[in-house]
Amino acid sequence: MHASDALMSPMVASIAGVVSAVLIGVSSNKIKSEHRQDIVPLMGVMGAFVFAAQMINFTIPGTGSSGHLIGGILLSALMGPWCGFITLCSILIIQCLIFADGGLMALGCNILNMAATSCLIAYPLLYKPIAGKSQKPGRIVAAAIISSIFALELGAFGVTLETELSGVTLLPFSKFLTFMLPIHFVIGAIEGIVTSALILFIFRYRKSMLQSHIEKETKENKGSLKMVLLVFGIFALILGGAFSILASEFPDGLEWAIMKVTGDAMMEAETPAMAIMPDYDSNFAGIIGSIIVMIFLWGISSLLLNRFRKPVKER
Amino acid sequence: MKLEKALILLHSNQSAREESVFTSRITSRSMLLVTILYLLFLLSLPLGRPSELIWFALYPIVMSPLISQPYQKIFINSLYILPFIILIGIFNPIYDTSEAFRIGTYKISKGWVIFFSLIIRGLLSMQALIILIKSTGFIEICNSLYKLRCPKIITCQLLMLYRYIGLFIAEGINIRRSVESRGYGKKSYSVKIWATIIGSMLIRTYERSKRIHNSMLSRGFQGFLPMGEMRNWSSLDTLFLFGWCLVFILLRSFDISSIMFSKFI
Amino acid sequence: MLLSFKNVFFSYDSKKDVLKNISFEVKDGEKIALLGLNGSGKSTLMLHMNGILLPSKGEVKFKNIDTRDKNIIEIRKGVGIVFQNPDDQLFMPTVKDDVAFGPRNMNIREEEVSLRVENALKATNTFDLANSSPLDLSGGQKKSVSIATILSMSPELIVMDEPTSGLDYEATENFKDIVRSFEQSYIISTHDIELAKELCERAIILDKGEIIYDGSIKEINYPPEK
Repeated sequence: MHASDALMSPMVASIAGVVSAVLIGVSSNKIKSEHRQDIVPLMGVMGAFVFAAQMINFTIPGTGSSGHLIGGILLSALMGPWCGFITLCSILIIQCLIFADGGLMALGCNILNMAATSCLIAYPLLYKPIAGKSQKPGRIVAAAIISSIFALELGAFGVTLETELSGVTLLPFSKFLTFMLPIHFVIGAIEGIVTSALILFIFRYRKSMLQSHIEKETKENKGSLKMVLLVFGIFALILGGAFSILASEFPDGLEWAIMKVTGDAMMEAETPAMAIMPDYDSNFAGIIGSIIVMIFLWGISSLLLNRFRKPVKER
Repeated sequence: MKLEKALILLHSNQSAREESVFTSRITSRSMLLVTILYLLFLLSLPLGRPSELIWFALYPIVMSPLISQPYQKIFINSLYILPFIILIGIFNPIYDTSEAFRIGTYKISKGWVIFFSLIIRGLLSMQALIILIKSTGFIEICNSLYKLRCPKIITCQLLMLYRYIGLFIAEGINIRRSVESRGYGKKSYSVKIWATIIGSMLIRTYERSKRIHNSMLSRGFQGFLPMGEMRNWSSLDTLFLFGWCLVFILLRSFDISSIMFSKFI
Repeated sequence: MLLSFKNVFFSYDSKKDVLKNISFEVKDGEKIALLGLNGSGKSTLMLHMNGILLPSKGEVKFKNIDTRDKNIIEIRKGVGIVFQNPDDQLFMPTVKDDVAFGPRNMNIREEEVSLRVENALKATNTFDLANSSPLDLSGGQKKSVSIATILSMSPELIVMDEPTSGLDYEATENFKDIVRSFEQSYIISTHDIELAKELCERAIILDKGEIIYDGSIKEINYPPEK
């Protein structure tokens, strides 16, 4: 789900924007250091392909509804994590600046929640070790499903955290997570299945598309598979299931942390909303008056609509 | 989003800029800066002040004739954001039932005021984005990023993606029509069929990238796309930027509705 | 002598030769048709002409510069290839940026780039399309713009891969007019024998990677009778 500007505070949006910009810079340097001249056309058309593929739906068995590809793990499996990240970032930027999908200020959050989680975290830490160099079908399916679930859960956690830190909703953090995580668990599983179906197709008909960067990467991979699986198995368990059940009964850790950081304002308020919005305005007449003025201005703007329009010949 | 709608939006982005005298003279950089400033000021306004938030509608209402787009159309397109806002914001009236004010005997809670504020904020931020899209050239934005020394990889990627998105959307439409003509009314496909269709498209994409690379090499490609000329920053851009900046500061600093309607409070 | 192939062999996978013992020369001003069935090696041969592909054995030279030389950019300035699918050739967002791509990579001053773009578009009757996106062009217009992208580089040899495939009668006639106005040498790979006879004087016929004919186009028996 794309985050919207309205649900982000300038602080959260700015921090996410800076982090995303740094990640883009790092990824660009990594790609440049690989000295692959064919990477510009490859990333360009792969991005366009994923963009179009996202709009072709498949049926989810047993539900009657349909889903679509997201593509982070797929792009990373085909081009490596850095290229996958830049490609997915460019898709998000185009979706924002041409199709108004997702906000401009929230672009940083969307890049972190969707591109960074799948390409820079889930792919190197889960997909690559599980799929391995041998790329056996069973391992590919397992790798795709586990990494996709993890990426989407992490993204859902990110959206929830950003929305809560922005202070736009009174829904408690734990309850928000209880709502978001199970849905994204299912979406992640489906994404993993379709990603693995595509990778297996490529593996059958054009193995070379997968192999060239895999060989390069596995030379660089020094991590221990077992240790990685252990750490992220525990992490996935917390995010995917136990947290949702336990957190609703226990004090919310994040809210407690925020209260400790912000101090008295939060502690003394009747509800968190009062502390975040101290200068409360209960001026109903002001609201009505403002709306009337705007409608009046709208009328004037309609009269001036064609004032700046170019003649057809000059366009 | 449907493929056909995406193609229409892509085409309208390419032509919208040329419809207005104003947008033909203003640079994309100044539009982008004004939009970012607008969003910063709008989002920094606390949610408990809907009467102040409403005044930020001044920007889209004033900009709509300048970019020769009817405000009604911009407003209707901005409604697309509502479901997401409602989904998140509806919990505010549920959790906060303390009284904000009364209309006659009816009590309006603070939760509802915040909910209403969220909706205004959502609509206005969406309208600002729509105005930006209708008034700026994407290619010029990419050129601007390049001049601002953004990594070449990302600016080249954006240009290439922009170029080929239309082609792939059109290809997606052809594939969908081809399957539908033998699909007996099915709107989506089983994962197996979907994977075969999309997998074939993916392989053709990869092979196309090699042909494009050969074509680029044949014309002296040295790793990055050379960028073209850009419209120079003019005094109109400076006036535009500082003018709106001043307006946003005033809107943010003063409760205009209280000043204007103090007699009725 | 403009271009020469000497005993060239090429294989994609080091197992099967796609080109076998190819030898021929192209002189200044020659107009050559490259003929052959699908899979005969025409496209592979064309990609050797500007050094995109390098021979496994033998040598390819453009004006005495070997394609294995580090100075490959000089060869790419001199030999311009128009690819079969215009969507592979037109990769910039607008027509004028695409036509300017080659000259800009040659580090030419922007004023001269603009002049070259203007001349190339006028030579192909596509000047009005300068600000258009390739997405908005018809098949014939795309083909004409593809040629303009090469003309702007002022090459000495133009190589065209199946330039009239998918074009209607009017677009084909338009293409012929453009080619007749060329001052440079050109090589056209085509299945249209009538087009080849109209525009070219010499024919090179490939069959399974080997040259089976190299001579006057008027005397050929192509396609061969069954």
